[in-house]
Amino acid sequence: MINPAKDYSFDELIISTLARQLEDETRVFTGVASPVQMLATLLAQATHAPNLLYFTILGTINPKPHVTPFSTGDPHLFDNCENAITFPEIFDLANNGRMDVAFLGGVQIDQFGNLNMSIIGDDPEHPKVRLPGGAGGPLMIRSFRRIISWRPNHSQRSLVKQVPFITSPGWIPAAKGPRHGGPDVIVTDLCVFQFNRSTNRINLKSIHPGTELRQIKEQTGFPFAIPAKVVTTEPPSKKEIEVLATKVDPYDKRKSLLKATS
Amino acid sequence: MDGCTMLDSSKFLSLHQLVRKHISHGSHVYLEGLLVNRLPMAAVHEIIRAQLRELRVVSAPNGLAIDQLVGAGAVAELEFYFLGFMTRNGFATMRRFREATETGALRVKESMGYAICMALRAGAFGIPFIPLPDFRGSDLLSVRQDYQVMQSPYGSQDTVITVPALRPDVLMLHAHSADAKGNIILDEPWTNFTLTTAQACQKVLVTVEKVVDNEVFEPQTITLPHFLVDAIAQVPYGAAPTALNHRYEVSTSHIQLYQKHAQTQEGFDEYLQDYIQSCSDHSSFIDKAGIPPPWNETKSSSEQGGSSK
Repeated sequence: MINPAKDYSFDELIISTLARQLEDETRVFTGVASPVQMLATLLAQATHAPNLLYFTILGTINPKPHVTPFSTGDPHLFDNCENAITFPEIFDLANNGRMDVAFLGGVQIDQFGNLNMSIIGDDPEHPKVRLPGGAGGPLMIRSFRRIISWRPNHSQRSLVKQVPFITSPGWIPAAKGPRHGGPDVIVTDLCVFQFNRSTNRINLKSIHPGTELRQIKEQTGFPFAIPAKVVTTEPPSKKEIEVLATKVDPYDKRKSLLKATS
Repeated sequence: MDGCTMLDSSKFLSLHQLVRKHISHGSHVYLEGLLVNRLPMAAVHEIIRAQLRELRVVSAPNGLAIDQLVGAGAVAELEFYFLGFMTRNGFATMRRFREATETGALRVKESMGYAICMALRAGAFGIPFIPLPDFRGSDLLSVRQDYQVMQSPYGSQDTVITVPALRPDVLMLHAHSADAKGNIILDEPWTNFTLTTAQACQKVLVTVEKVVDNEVFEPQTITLPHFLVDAIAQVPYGAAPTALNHRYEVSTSHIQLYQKHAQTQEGFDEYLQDYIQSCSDHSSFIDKAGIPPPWNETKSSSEQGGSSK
C-alpha cells in the first residue's frame, strides 16, 4: 500500500507520477531532452521496478550518474553503467519488438497522439516557427510498445485538436503497416491522460491535487473523455520522496530541473 | 613523452593546417557529438576562422556547433534531426539556426536520427540506399522527396522506406587520444558507431586531447584504426565548452553567455569577434572564456563530478 506523504512538492509529484507509469522487467529509453524522465526512470528502478533496464541516448544501460545532469547527453550518463550499446542499436532492438517504453514528447500533441516537433506555419520551406526537430520520433512512436509524454505548460497551444505538421504519427489510419505500439500516456502539469485503444479517444485518467476539472477543460485544445468519477493523482509516497532525496538526486537538482523544463 | 618517435608530418598537423588542408568551400561535412557531449568545438571555431563557406553539414544532435557555424555564415545546407539541448536555465533553442531557417537563408533537410544512422551504415557498407521499417504517416515523407516508399521485393507484404546512402567528404570528431601511428581512442563505454561513421566518410579528421607519441595502443582499446584516419591535431579541451567523458564538465556558464549573445545576429557577431575571431587558437579561447581546468587526474571522477556543480 502506498503511504502518501503529506508534504511534497510539485517536482516530486511529477517525477513519481511518471515513475509509476513504468513497470518492472521492462526496457525503457529516454531521448534528447529528457532529464525529468531520466529522474523518473531512476526512481522507478530504485523503488518498484528494480529489474527495469534503462537505456540512455548515449547508449548506456543502467547508468548510476555521480551527479544529476541537466542534459540527457551529459557524459555523466556514462557513469557506472552496467553495459552499453550504440544509439542506432537501441532502435534496431525496437524494430524487432525488443523495447518497451520510450519517453517522447512534442511541442504540440493532438487528439490522435500525433506529435509535432518540426514547424509551425503552412509552408515547410518558410516556416513561421522552426522547431528543434523530431529526433528519433517518426519511427520510435510505432516501434516501441508504449510512448509516454511529459508535457509541461498544459495549454490549448500545446495540446491541440490537430497538429499542423505530423513529425511522429500517432493512432491514425495514414500510419499504415505494422506497429509494436504507440502513444499511451500523457502527463501534464495538470493531469494524466491515457489513450483508450478501443474507443480511440483520450481519457482523463487523473487530475493532479489542487487542479480543477474546469481548468483542464479550458486549457486543453483536444477533446477527451471524462470518467464518471474523476480521481486525483496519487501523491508521492514517503518512500519515493526519501529515495529521490537520498539515492536518485542527492544533489537536489530536481526542483531547478523541473523548472528548467517548464 | 621521452620517446623520440617521429610522427608522420602529413597526418599530424596543427588544427590551423588540418582545417585548411582537408576542408574546402562547399565540403560535405559530418560533425560528431551529442547534445553537450564531445562536440568538436575547437574545429568548429577554426572552420569559422578559416572563413569556409557554402558547407553542406550533416548534424548529429549537436546544436551548439551548428548554431555557431550557421551564425558565422559558413553553412548553405543543413541536414539534421534535433537541434537544442537542456541546460539548467531551460531548453537552449538554437536561435541562429532558427532565424536562418525561418528567413529562408539556410536550406534545411529535416531527417530522423535513425535514418541518418542507417544512411551512414549504407555509406559504410558501400551500398546506394538502405531500407528502414515503415514510418508512413509522418510528414517527413512529404518534405523528404528522396525518402521513398517501397515494397519488399521478397514477396511479402512488407513496406519499407528507403533512404539514400550518406558519404560525406569529411567526418570531424573530437576524441581522447592518438598514438604514434595515429590510432584513436575514444574513452566512452561503447564506440562502434563512430567506426561505422568513419567508414562512411571520405576523410576522417580528429582532434584529440593528447597525442601519446611514445606508445602504440593495445588493439582492443582502439576506436579508429590508423588507416581510417587522415589527419590528427592535438587540441586540449577540444570539445569545450561541451563536456568530455572522464576529462571535463559542460561549461554551463559559458554556454549561457553564448545563448545570451545568440538571441540576435548583432549579439552573435559580438561573440564571434570576442571569442572566435580575436582568439588565435583554441587555447586562447579557453583562457578568454575562463573554462575551468580539466579534472585533476589523481582524483576520482565522482569526487570531481559531485563537487564541481
